[in-house]
Amino acid sequence: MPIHLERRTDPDGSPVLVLIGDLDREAADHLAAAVRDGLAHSPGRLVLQMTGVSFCDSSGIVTLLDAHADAARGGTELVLTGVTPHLRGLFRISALDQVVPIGEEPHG
Amino acid sequence: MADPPADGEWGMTAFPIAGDLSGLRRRTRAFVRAASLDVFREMNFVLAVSEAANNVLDHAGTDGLVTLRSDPGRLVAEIRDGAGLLTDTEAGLVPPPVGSRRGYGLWLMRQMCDEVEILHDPTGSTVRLTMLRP
Repeated sequence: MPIHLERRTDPDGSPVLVLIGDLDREAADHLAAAVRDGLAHSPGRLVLQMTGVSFCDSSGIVTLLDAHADAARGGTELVLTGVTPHLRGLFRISALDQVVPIGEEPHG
Repeated sequence: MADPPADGEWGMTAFPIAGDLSGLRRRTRAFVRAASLDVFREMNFVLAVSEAANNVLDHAGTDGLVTLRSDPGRLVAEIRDGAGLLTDTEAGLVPPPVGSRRGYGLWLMRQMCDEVEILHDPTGSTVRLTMLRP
């Protein structure tokens, strides 16, 4: 399923980008553009809500690492929430979880 | 979908690797579903097949073929490219450095599957992924 992105705002005012669908090579450019757009509106924190991510591969991992680095350069912390158990395992095996913060709290 | 394997049965299907990895995963999932892997292992296998096909698209470009086979003991995926660029049979045995922008594909395949073999001959390379059936 192609990636679908929705912009929302957290109760605390943080922008939230809700990801729905497959996070693969076809999603990379779309997500990168949405994150850049989100960073332009984010005061210090940008949440990526991952509950609806049905698939993620190495392209998705690299896209998330790039997004996190882009955010950090602009002084914004990029945080993943709603990470499902299979994704959590993938993020551990790829060590993405040593770079990108993964929040426990529900968002979006 | 040709010949999805019933529980404990034999089955085989093959299809070329085009740009559409989402469609490739759908076909793989449909074939694998009947093999009664637990849901995590099914997701792992589909991810591994998709990674191998992704590598073919990245590095070899053309002539990619996925063959899926099932027998009562195992599920096997062979992902073949005609370019033969994958020659290091030990590739992916160590993890990429933390935060690396590349090098995840074979590492993930080896973590996701029960067995991963890299075969190389003059006419191309094949990644063979094996999952034992319950």
